[in-house]
Amino acid sequence: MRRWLRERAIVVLVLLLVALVGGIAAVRPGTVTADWIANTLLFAAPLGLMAGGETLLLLTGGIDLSVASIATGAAYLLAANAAHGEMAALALGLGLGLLVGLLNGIGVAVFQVQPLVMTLGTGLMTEGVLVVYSQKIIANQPHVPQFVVALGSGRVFGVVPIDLFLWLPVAALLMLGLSRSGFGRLLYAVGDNPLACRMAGVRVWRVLVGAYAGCGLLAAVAGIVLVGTTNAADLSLANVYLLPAIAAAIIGGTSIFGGRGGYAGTIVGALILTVLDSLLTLLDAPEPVKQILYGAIILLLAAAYTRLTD
Amino acid sequence: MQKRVLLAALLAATALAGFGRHAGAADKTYIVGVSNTLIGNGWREEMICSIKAQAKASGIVSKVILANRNGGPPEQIADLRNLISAGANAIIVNPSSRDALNPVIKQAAAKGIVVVAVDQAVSAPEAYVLSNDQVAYGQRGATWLFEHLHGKGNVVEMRGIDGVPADSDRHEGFMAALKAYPDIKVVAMPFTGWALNTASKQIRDLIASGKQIDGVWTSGIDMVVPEAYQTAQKPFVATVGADNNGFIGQLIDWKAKGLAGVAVTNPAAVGGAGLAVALDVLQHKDRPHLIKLTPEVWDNTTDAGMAKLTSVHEQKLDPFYSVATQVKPYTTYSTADVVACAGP
Repeated sequence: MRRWLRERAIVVLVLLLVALVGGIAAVRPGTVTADWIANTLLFAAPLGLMAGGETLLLLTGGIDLSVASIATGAAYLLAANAAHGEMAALALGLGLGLLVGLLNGIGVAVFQVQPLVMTLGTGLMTEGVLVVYSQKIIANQPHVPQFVVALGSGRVFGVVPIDLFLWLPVAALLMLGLSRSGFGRLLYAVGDNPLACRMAGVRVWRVLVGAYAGCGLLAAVAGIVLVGTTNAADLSLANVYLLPAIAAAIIGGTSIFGGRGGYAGTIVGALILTVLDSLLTLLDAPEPVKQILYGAIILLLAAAYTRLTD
Repeated sequence: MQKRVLLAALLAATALAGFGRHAGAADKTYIVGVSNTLIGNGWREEMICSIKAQAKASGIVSKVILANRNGGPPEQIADLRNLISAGANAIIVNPSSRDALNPVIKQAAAKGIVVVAVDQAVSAPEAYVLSNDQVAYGQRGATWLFEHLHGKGNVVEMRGIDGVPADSDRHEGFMAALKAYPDIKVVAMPFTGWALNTASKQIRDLIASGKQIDGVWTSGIDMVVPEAYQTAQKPFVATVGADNNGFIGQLIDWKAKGLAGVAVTNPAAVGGAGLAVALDVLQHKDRPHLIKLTPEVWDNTTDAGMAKLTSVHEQKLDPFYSVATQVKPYTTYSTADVVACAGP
């Protein structure tokens, strides 16, 4: 049984997710409806996209603390410039993600800056530039393009959130890419033993730059989905997603030391965190109690998961 | 040769004239320091812009020095010390703590520097405090909501951050209003953290949970509520928000679709008003140490309210711009200067 579970760790995670949903059904009977599930998926998608980028980096032994700033920046640039051409504004937003991601990658891979420090620095810089920028364009008639609003809050047939049509292909690409492509395998290898990789002739820096750029781009995409949900961008839009994005990957079984994990677990991790949020909103309890519960449940999940699978 | 003499004379005259102007103005121009410890927040940026605009409008401020970074009391104390050393005559501070800044405020006062705390209070007796009455903010909006519901129904109170003074004050006002309406039931009281996404998810979760909700009071994260009802294709419920440009746009545009609501003012222009008070005190005019602004309520259910909302709404501006750009009688700038964030 243990062995079977160890090889199918994802099953344990899914069971934990189901248990949490069961918890909601118990706390507020009648909540778990098609409507609620659609809502949960809607909000899990941007978190899942951001956590996807983190998963790539955690596999290499890296991390990205600039994802929230990138997502906020992409959303803000999109809304602020949409009046002058929606596609151009979209490209600008995604371009920001790619640019900051590339900078991160170059800093970490070429200049050997510790990823924590590098991405913290670029995140703060992005935030600062945004503040200055926001003062320049305050009367720029910001708006969120209709197709982005549809992406971030629309549904087909009344129940399927439109952002799933973005998340699912990205998820498939990430999962297949990680297990089947050379680049994917190299991410694991670099995280496991960068020295051996280098000796085997792998251009480690290229792998890292690619991974960081990919993470930046995914964060920008997540930001665009987010701004579609809120239909307005402020300068702290994605801040609340930074730690959950990392936590989703770790809960999903990706090791922060690199070389171990995958995106399937991250998806379930993102769903677990989203459901947990709902549970706490619907629970009639004082705020400190909710915070204690949130922390305790995450600890419990991590401990149970480790016991069941190791 | 003649040309050269002429040129020299001209230069001398210009220099003299310039010197004269400088000497004449030197005894009545001031350096103003600003300390803010939350960056990236649109409301705070607007507050700073209103200080710059008021400095420009006053004509007696030579320079505005900005200490603007993310931090808590230790960072702010360091910033205030730097502003004192930089020769500020007046300091406008949005305090990160009620008590922790008192020693450095005392130091400033001892040097004759006028310190005005805006938006939130400090307990130092030397300081002047100018802020919105947050208890009234909670109470006035809530009272409108309960009246609108004819004193009966389920409401959601979407709060800010647990433990922050503005949140507890607004909650106190909300509860005070609630006392008079025994048939109003608060069915949920989530803390939004004043974050858009958190609030957006909470209200959507509550809508999806099937709880009966008749009205929503928000602590300023307002736009996401009508937005959530709109995308869920459910009829709007009465919504209380702040004087955010985007929310006011919703109140105007969606009135025909059944959205009833009220904007309660929380002007970012307290910054500019604080500077006006500081300059008055520097010019030896007597001003009270505590000035509380009473928030206005603009509803979209009366003609007068609609007229007000329509007059303040600015299509071109950022959705989170606080449209109460003036705090009369204190501020004397043009609103265009705030929008341009233009200082002296």
